[in-house]
Amino acid sequence: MEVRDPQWLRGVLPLLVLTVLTRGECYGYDLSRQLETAGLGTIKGGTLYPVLARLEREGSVAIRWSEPTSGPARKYYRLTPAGKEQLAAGATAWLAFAERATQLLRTASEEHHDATT
Amino acid sequence: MPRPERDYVTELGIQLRLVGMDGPRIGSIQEEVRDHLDTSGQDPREAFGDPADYAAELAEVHRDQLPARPFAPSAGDYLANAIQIVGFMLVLLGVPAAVLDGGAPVDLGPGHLAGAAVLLGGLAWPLWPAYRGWVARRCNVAVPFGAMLGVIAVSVALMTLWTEPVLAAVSPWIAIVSGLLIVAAFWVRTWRRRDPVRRPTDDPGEVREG
Repeated sequence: MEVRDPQWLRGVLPLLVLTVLTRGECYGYDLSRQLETAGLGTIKGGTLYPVLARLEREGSVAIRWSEPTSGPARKYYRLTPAGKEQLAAGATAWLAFAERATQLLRTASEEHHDATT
Repeated sequence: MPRPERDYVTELGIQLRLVGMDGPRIGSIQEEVRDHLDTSGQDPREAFGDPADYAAELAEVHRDQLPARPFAPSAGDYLANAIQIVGFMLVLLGVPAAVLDGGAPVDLGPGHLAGAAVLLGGLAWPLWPAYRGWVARRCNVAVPFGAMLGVIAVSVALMTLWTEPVLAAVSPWIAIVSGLLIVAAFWVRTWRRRDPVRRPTDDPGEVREG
């Protein structure tokens, strides 16, 4: 079941991608499956690859192509030192934001609960 | 790769070209889409959306590297085309004189100058932003195409009918050879500016593993 609003993902997806890449290099579809396994729902290619392209442009990820014996070539992404810095700074900022948002929502939820009981 | 996937990748390539992406980057994006579809078995439109929308989203990532107006002709393009037209004219004037008139000189009259001026001025329309806006709004290719044919017809009429007085006489062989050299130079320029779509693995430096 999809439990999230797709808009929530947009802002945090680059950080989530960088987080998955801390485990080692991987290719696009593998990355989307790892995010899905983590409970983030289906990440479509049309959403994921522009994020990867932006991270590549910013120098947060490096790429290499692998030529298989059959089928299309595969593009692998790996974290760069700049990407690690971006992840560290972004994760701290996001956690602080999420904590404040959670507190606010919890207060609103408790008030609603009290009013209905 | 099944046909729907192949068609999608082809359409995506066209849309990426229309937003002004270069051949190697288009090749890389297409290859990554192919790999994703091959591995996942997903429907291409379900996974990536409409090709034009996906191309627009990728263009946004590379906005500062893309031309503001893809395919808008520059003054250099216009000049090269104008010179090529002059080259063709020289060949077209020289061949009949050399073959039919036994090598008689090509007589250049005021009609040749006026015709060339009409041709070069008439075909310069695409350089004007107002003209491009007009074409984009109407989106009817028949009108500019018809206008282009009209310019060529007026130009040919001037060259054919306004032949007196003779301003210069040129050897047909000089006209043919110089015309062919000009046309060849144009084609060399075109060849050097080509930007084909290339698979990323066509560049050995991109592949690190077999």
